[in-house]
Amino acid sequence: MGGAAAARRGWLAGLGPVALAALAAADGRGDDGPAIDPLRPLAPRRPHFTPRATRVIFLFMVGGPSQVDTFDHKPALQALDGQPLPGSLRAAIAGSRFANVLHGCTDRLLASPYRWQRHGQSGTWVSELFPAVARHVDRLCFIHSLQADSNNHAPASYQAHTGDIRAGKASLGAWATYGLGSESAELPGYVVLFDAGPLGGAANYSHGFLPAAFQPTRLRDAGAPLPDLAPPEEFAAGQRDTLDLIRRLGIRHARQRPGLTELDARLASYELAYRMQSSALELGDVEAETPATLRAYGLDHADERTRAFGRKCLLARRLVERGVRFVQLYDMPDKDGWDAHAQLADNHTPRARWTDQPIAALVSDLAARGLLDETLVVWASEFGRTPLVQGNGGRNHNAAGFTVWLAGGGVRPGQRIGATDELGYMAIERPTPFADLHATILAALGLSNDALSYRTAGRDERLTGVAGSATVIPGVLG
Amino acid sequence: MTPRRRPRWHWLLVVALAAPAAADPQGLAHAPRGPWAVEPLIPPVVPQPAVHADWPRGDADRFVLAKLLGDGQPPPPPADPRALARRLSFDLHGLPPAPEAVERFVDAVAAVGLDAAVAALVDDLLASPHYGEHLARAWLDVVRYADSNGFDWDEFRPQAWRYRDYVVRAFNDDKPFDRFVREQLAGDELVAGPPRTPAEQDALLATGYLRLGPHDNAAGLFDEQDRSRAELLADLTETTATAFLGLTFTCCRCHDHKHDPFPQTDHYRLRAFFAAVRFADDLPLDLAPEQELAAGHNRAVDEDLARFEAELALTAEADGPAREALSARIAALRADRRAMLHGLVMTDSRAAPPTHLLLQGDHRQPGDTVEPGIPALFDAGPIAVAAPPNPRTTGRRLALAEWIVSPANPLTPRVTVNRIWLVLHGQALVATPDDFGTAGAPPDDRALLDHLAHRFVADGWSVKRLVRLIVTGAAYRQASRGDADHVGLRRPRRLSAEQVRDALLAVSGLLDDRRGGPPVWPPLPPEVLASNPAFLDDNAEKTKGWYPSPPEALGCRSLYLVQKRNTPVPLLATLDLPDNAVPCGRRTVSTTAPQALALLNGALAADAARALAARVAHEAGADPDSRLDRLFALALQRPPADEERAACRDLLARGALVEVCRALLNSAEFVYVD
Repeated sequence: MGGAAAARRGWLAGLGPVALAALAAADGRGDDGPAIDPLRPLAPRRPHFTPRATRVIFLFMVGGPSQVDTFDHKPALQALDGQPLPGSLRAAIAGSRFANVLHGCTDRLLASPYRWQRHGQSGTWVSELFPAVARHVDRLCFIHSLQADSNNHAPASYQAHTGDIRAGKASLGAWATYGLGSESAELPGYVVLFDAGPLGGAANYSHGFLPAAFQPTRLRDAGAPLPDLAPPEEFAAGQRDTLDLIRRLGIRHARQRPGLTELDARLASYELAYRMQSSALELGDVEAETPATLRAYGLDHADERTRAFGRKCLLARRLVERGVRFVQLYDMPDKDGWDAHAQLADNHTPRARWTDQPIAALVSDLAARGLLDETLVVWASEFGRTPLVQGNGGRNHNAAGFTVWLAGGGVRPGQRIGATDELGYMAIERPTPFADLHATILAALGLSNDALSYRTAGRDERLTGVAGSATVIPGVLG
Repeated sequence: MTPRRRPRWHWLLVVALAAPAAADPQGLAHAPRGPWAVEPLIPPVVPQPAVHADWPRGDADRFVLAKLLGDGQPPPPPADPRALARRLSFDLHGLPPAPEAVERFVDAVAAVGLDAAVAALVDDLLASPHYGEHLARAWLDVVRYADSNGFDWDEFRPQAWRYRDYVVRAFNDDKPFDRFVREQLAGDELVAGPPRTPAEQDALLATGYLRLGPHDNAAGLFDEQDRSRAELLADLTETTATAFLGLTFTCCRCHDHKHDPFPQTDHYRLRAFFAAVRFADDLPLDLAPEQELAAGHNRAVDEDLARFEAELALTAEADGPAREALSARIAALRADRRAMLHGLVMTDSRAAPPTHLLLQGDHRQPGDTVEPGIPALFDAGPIAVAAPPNPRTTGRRLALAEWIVSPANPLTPRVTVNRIWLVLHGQALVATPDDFGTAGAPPDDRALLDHLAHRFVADGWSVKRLVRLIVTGAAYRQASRGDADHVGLRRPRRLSAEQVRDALLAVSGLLDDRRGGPPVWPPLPPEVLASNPAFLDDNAEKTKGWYPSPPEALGCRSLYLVQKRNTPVPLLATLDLPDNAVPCGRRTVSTTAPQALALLNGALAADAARALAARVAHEAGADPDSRLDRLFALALQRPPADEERAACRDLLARGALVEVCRALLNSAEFVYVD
């Protein structure tokens, strides 16, 4: 029986017989899905082909940062400030399936209030919002032509995470851990870090229909990283005795029910819970980092929100360093995020300040530690914003064309892929649905988006939908 | 035992016997081809195994026995009476039994024998309102019940609980399942004008079924109301196909089904039944006489109001005292208007807009129009829609409901019986309860399933009779085995999330008997409360925030805890609460370290351990052995073994009764039922 031996099985110590049946039979892995050992669901698994990256840090900017104020430089927009949208562009958008991105805007173009400059050897334009990230521009691969199927936060955000504008599907992080397991035995394979989280809530980062072994774990970035990590004060002294008694009772119970392997898993889960108290606290002890590192991430920054985001970025590095497969990190310190419906600069300027230095530090730090080659870093949101003005100096949602960037594990640096029209409104060159971004991220991890399937309710579910409907974006992976 | 094909005349006879006059023989002329589950429901011949003839307690057991023997398995012996009492309590009530009830059952077995003792206990359990609460939970999973909208702000639905309570009542009152189907799909079509009886009121509340899916309240702001409408209709189509028919209609939303003979048109033919639906939040649900009284009262109030408002308009700005007096009267009159009872209900617009097939399932790419129709393999023509009792509805949903409960549809009895078997046995006869198509699992015991399904309909769709039939059988009362891997054998199973929480409260004496009504909001960890964007954007209507209930309300059963789509109660989520955006006919069970942390260190578990220790000390006095006896009786419904006594004694001797309680509440036996 051996709790110690069983405990090595991992963070989520096992699935029950129901799940075992599910993974084996009709409701389960699908035609080509991975074979999951029900007692070690997070054991590392071989990818479909040689991976370029083994871990992912997904930086999700909640609310829709404006592409035309950050990374998608449009001189024509600057020139036409205050003018109506040219008729040809209006007609092109109105005649497309993105017609509603015109809805709610005033017919007056709004130039970016930010100064733009070329950076790096690639000479890539970046606005003054991201001076620190701009120094890494030669490491980044931009895709300027993302499109979402809804122009509202939650559905678009669900699509960015799960491929579907409806709630109830499995997120990228759950798919990645389902496909690959995790390298860490004492930490969860899929970690979520946030203050207020994405719009649309837990359905964004859910495991959906995938077994609960692939559910995300939210870590706190201050205090104990996990809830219920330590017993209430009055029970602390007796914790070891209580655990020993649980174990003795459990062994007797299991002995009387031979063959019920989930009882072994349960014994192991208690031992692991006990040991996690130290491993999770060690993980959360960011103060153990050097003063230089803490400074680099902005942990001494005057702005509290920069410090908070910096702690998350630093935790993300500590997590991937310890073998965690997928870290989903949100920039959402309040209820609005980047949702600048009015006074664009009042919204975007501070948000850039809170995130620019920590993100740049994360990329530098990963590179300095030799982790960047194997860690894919993604920066994205649910959509971008309109070049037209909305209300009092704001911009509305824009699902028709917006920018994401990738860096690290297997990404060809210094690339700019796809393009929006001259004003940055709608993708006209290599329009890219989220499904293609997902296929690309999976491909970096050595997973085929068509082969990674899970059968539930009579159909093979995939992150990227029906087989053959998504393509790895050419040119992103080297 | 494989089902036998019979000549059609035999089947006709069976159908004629089962449902004589009202039967719509649609589909009889051409037996459908497709997955096994659409084949006609023919009661299989009851096998008569020559050996172990004293094992079965009825015909259903004869099928189980035949299957076991056919697979070389001897029939299992009965469980220990204590284990059986515990099992019956968890399976019928979702709660652990009181130690005294277990002792009574043990005595009864000795006095009157197992059959009579089980029958009496089952009658008691079925008569308790806890029965409906437990059966309702399984159905609420299937219909993706939640108390909120989901999407950006996950607005609270203050009236959703009325549907939840309706479901509890339906199971407790043993509402015939065919009636239950009709009411949920078309309760409003059955009621003409204001409801005249509580039963008619319930029929209207039942249409909450049509309202339970996620709803993007903000879609209109971004000119996406068409998408939102298309999603509502797709959700109703797919959920109805899954919940009542066990069919997957998600695939054929976009293309012909890959595995089953469901062309894309089938999805849209089914969708057309719902084409006229509209939210009926304004529909008064009070009984007709009360509505008339209230309307009369409000008419009088409104006349007065009009008068005083006109007077106010004519009163000079300078005349402060007169204006104040008038304003006060107006405010008083407004407060005196009687509010009507409302619910989360649905009804029809007068006319149904045309339903288009959507290319690739995309509402922006409409194709040909289709008429309402059942899956074409049953009947490819349009369905006949009769005028419903309610003249303000189209009759479409009622026509669908009538087909679903008609003998022409063999799916619904099979699917429903399988769901009930799963609730009671912990494993289903068809391992994929939401998919009876060819991609789903084949039935592990089709003859038994068909026998029960046929019996269920013949018994007037009585769920209680079906439950009684199953749990009084020898198959149900068998001793479980850890290595059981046969449909006829029972394996121990872990309690569901709700059962774990309810059991913690029950054994520690913290469970209260509150039933029904608006949901209870448990406290949340500060970092969740302080950070959710919706909570931060709390509004005047009090729908976006989190509104913790007072501590004295927190002893309610988990069924009554609020179910917000975007913020599941953490303890329940850790214990495999399913996603409630889509139907869930079978929960998965995981064993994880966070579960151990929650039960070891979480606030509720700590409260339960303290309360249990106090209860044991109070009820058993100071003697350590008496305390252990009482603790084991309360938590595990059995006396401790010597080995366990010895293991607990050291801790007890140090005065650490609460530590022993914690250990018992964390023991595998506490959260497993044999």
